[in-house]
Amino acid sequence: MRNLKKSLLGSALLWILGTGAFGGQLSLGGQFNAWNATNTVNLDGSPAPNNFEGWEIWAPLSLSFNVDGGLGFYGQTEYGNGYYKDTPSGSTSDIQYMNNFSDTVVGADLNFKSFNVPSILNVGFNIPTGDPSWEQRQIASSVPTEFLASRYRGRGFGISAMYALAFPAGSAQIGASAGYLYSGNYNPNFGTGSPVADLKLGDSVFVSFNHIQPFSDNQSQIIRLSGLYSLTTSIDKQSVFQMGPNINASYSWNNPKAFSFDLGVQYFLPGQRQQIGGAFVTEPQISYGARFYLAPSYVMGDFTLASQAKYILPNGYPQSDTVLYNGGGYLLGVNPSFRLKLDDSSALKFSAGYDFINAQNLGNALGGGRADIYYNNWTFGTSYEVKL
Amino acid sequence: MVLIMRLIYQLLFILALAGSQALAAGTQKTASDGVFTSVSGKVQVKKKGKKFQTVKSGTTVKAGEKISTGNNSNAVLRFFDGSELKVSPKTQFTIAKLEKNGLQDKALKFKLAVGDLWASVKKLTSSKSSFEIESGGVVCGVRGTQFSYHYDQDRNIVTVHVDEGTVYLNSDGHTYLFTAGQTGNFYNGNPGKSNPGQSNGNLGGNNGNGGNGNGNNEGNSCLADLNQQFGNSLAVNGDNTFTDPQVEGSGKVNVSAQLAAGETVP
Repeated sequence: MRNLKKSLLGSALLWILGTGAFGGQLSLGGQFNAWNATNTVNLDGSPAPNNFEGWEIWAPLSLSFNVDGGLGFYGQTEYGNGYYKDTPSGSTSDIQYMNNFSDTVVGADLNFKSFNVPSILNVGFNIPTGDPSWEQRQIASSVPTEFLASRYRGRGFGISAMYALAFPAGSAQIGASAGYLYSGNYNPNFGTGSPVADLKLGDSVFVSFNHIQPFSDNQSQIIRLSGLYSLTTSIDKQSVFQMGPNINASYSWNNPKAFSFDLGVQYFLPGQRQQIGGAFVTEPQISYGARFYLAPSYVMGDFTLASQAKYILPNGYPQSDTVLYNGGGYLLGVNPSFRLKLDDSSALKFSAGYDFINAQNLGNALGGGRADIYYNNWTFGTSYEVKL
Repeated sequence: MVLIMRLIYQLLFILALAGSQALAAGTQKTASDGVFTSVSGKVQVKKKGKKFQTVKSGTTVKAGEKISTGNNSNAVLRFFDGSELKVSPKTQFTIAKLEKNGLQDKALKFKLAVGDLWASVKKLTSSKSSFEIESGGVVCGVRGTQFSYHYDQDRNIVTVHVDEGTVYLNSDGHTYLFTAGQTGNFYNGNPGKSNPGQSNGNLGGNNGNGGNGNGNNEGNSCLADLNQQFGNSLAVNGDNTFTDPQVEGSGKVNVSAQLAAGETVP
């Protein structure tokens, strides 16, 4: 069996190299990320205000290559080492350590012509190399994921596919795409002594349109409009939730040598939830508040200074609903980076970042009131990139 | 390459050896104790075959013993693994199981007859470990979290409020997930009005996998942008892709190619 695998791998490599037009990129990196909550808040009215802090070290690996003018492959994974500390007041800290691979993504892009216009088909696979229980284990001490996405992935097998076309419109281009995301079942249960519960996240259908107007010196403006419709999420084949459709609109100005920015909004419609007796009905309120963002950046040679402001409105539920209310909040971040060119085909990139996050009304203070929680988040990273 | 492969095989052998030793250790079950770290008012313990006796701070308890608190009385119990139970007034429960099974596995189970318990559970580090509270036909299983648990015996209502982490409740063959900030009610073992279904907001509702692109289509900025939008949209809508903005060239995130990893572009 091992010889067979070797032969297959060898044949694939020879085929790739034999195509002649081989090109690609390999990227290796290391990143340190740390966060803490700057204030202590009673999360529940219990007599235990908590402190949260933690850090992660990531070693990502990314590889992409084209085997001819239209076909390319990509793959990436990363290994994480993490420390998550949660300290209730007057009690000992709960500490979790992570030493895991995350899920791995592999896929291919095929560029071709359909309807006499440039087109692309992108198919990706999520290979479940991660631990499906880890994302829940790290939740207790992490920054809420609506502000900073959990970097770790352990979501089981998944497939995504997208087809897009680009139509000429004078000097501009208009694009249209449609995509589908399939999520397989996985079990996020992690040893409660409970029966296994298979979680099947809802599949998603994605459509988007863009209009790109190029200008001199590689400057361009992009207007985007997209929507995502999600199917039902189920546990043990029982529908429990369906995220409401959402609409995204954004405007970007890109100048690769100076100032750029991206301004956007995302608006959610009501979803569906399981109610008493298992009835699956439309939510009376919207679970996800609208979110706005502005991401300006400025490039000075090899140095880039990027920043981001993000604001999330409270969702539609009243504060008295301790289950479904979400107070939203905001994030302000700054991210300088420097690219050190080593030669014509390789470079080192150094980056840093700081984010301030105010998760509004996330805590329930003693006496029934609400309280904000403030977080700091720092990142430091470097990566080595080489063209193949 | 041969040296590297040899090193990998050696590491795998060491890991396998360590695993077998842990497995062997895991087969040994030992009973473990809890201790009252705080007692206020009238707190009593009933040992097997004996009557309720009033206890004070420092008293130890074992599996099979019943604990009762009177009016305006409360207590804090700390167990061998560091987990804590805060017992409210007018509460009665039985310690059904206190076991340490090997190096990492442990099992703690309580049967709540009436009243309120607030639990701070040490993170469970193995899949065989459990921390459960049972009452009114509902089994509440948790791992490394904090939650309060109330059982109204007269009306057979179980109420759980999750402070941190995730709590699973099993009732009538169904598993219900509750995450931080959520409250669940069960009437006669059935899920009640305010339960959040079985969705898990922290998992982002409708998440998924995949959805990337490798920037292979750099020659056509329109297609490249659509490809990136696809990856972005999946990442944004429930934080659902394996995002690694730090790795340029993956082509799946446009704006965040300039940002540090861990951030999302909404």
